[in-house]
Amino acid sequence: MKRNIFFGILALALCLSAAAGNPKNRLCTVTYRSSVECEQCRKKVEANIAFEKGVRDLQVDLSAQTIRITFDTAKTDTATLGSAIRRLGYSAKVCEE
Amino acid sequence: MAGPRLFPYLCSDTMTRAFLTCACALALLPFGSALGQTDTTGIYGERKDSLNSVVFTAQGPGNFLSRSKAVRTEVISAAGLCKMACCNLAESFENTASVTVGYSDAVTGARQIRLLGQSGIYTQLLDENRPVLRGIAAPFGLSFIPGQWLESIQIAKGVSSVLNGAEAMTGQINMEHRKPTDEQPLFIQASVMHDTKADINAASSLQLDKTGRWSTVLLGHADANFMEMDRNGDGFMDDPRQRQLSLSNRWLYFGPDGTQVRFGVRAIWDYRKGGQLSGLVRPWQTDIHNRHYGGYVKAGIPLNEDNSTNFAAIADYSYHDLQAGFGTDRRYDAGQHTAFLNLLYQNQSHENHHFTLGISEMLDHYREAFGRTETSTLSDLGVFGEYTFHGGERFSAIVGLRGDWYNLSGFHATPRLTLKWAPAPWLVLRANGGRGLRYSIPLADNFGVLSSSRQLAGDYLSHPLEDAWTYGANATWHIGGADSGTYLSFDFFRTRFFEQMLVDYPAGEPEQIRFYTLSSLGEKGRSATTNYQLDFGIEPLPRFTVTLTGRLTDARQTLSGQSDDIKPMTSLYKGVLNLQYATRLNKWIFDFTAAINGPCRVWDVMRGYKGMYENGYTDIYPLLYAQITKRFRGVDIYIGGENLTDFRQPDPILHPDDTHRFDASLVWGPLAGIRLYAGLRITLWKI
Repeated sequence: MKRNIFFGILALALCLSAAAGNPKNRLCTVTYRSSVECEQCRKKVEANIAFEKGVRDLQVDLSAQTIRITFDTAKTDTATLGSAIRRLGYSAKVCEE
Repeated sequence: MAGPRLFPYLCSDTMTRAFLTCACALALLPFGSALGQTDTTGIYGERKDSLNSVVFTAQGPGNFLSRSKAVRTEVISAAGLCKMACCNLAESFENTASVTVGYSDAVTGARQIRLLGQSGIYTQLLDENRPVLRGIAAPFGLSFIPGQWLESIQIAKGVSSVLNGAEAMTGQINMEHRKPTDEQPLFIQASVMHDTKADINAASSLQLDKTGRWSTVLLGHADANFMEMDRNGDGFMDDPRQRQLSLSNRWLYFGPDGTQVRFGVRAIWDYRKGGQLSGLVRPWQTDIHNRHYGGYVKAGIPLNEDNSTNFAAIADYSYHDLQAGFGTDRRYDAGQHTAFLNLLYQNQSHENHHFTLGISEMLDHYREAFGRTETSTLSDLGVFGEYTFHGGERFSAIVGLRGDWYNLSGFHATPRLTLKWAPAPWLVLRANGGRGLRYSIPLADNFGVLSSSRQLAGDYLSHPLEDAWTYGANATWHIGGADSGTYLSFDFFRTRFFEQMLVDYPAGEPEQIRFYTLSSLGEKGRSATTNYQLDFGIEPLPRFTVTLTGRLTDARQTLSGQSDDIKPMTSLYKGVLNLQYATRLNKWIFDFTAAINGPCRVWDVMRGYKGMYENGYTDIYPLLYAQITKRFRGVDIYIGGENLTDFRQPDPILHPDDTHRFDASLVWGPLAGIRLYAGLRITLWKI
């Protein structure tokens, strides 16, 4: 009996941790309005923000002057990413979508 | 005996003349009414919307067709320059079918290219729209431009603008260097090949004040190989031992009123020793020193507030010294001073009508010592005008006309016409045609002939004015819309020479190489090439790009010492397949290139050598390249391989043991075989 309870708890824990740890469930996308306006800006952002912890996808739109980032919420957040963009010399304000 | 004829001449002389007449008439039209247009990219107008000048780098795959250019233009982007080792400019063309890269000979390591089936000497090489590496700098010039110094390369087929002179006959190759305004205070690239060839490049772009008015870029390059390799066992090095050091400093001043001044200096030292292995007793070796020094100034001054009218000036000076020894009894020592001045007035004040007027002078002073010493001064003083009509987004026409006075050949007119029409967003049609003129420098233009014990005969120290007309058309279909990334492009180009310096290895005189002009053959002499090319590009999956290119070339040249008129050593076709896959965020990039090179008709003297070339043609051979790149923040690491099938031209040196018949100048294929390499790039961004 004790053995069955042990395995039941173990299975439940595994399911819960799998659900909580599913990377797809932790992904979030944020768009920043930014001062990026040239190819050099695009290259600089792509070469640096892509390697920020938790970043999964990145799109720089020069005509709209936006940076769209998909990231893992367990590893980073919008404030950290905004700071990373500003450290490169560009403004970063979260767009309300 | 005539070998396979892929296709006959498609265009008769009547057609050619009719086209030329129309082109001349159209070219003269604007001078009857209003003078018009230009494109001074690289001189002016680069910073209207941003600090960064080149709009079409970084995006998309490594090679792509420019949609915006009026002339059919293939762009090799920064990404394309990172697909392969691309140690220098010549190697940057390995993954394009438009340009064929080969060796001038089997011993000196000099590389040459072909565009539209003609030698690279007929393609004008531009450094941000300044003509560079001409004359005696040309034989090794392609190895003087480190690939990692470049931001992009644009290959324009056919004749284009008249603003840079009349020398472009088959096309223009324009190089865009790393910019002073790049926010990269430090870039370092280093690579090594398994045959011990190593190179290192460094670049530093610095913005010197907060207003961004002054900026500079320092560029450095060094390469060397440390071992003599002889994989085919013929006693000759596959590649010469080589040392090269190259330095450049480029500046940009951007004034508050829109004035731009660009200036820079460049120095190159290059030494290479090739030929037989050093361990042999009294080896036959080549010993070649190149030194090149140069500087330039470009200025663009706006004449009104919106910069729609402006004045631009370009001044350039270079000195090149070439000391070349071949064995113990042949030397070619030469020096060249070149001065270039180009003054332009540009008016773009009307939305639909732009025009440029200008005057230019190209002055070359040569000293050539080959047996005897000859000095010569070649001058080309030109006036020119170019008019562009913009009919909205869909249509544009550029008509250009130069009038040049050549000190050895008198006055010549150079008309050129370019048309672009986009009847629908998914279709672009282009056509261009016109004349090209250049002085021949026979020994420098055909440097490979010096790696031979044959005696040179004829006019090899003269400087005839070569004269060619090129015309062509291109249709590009953007499948699925302009932004789909899928395209199919077809182009046709034909070049016909009316005067050309010819080089002949006459079968009846096996100890001679003869130089003579096309006009000396009289009515029967003709030299022309016809090219067809098909390009297809698609992105079937996200981040997976496929480009496929095929080229057919029909090159004809009347040579009195050959049995037919098929131009020797020109491949009949080439096909290239490029595959690239990048993982999300480009953290891993996988590149693969496969090329198939068609046969070349060989010189008659090569037929039957060691049982080869019995049908008069070389073998078809494949070339495979692969590279894997892993990117970290600020650091890229890559490994790759070139010529993975290890194909090498069999017995590239004819009669290596016979001092009277020795010939290393008859090269059509790879010499070095498979090469594996590894490298890294470090980029420090301005924060």
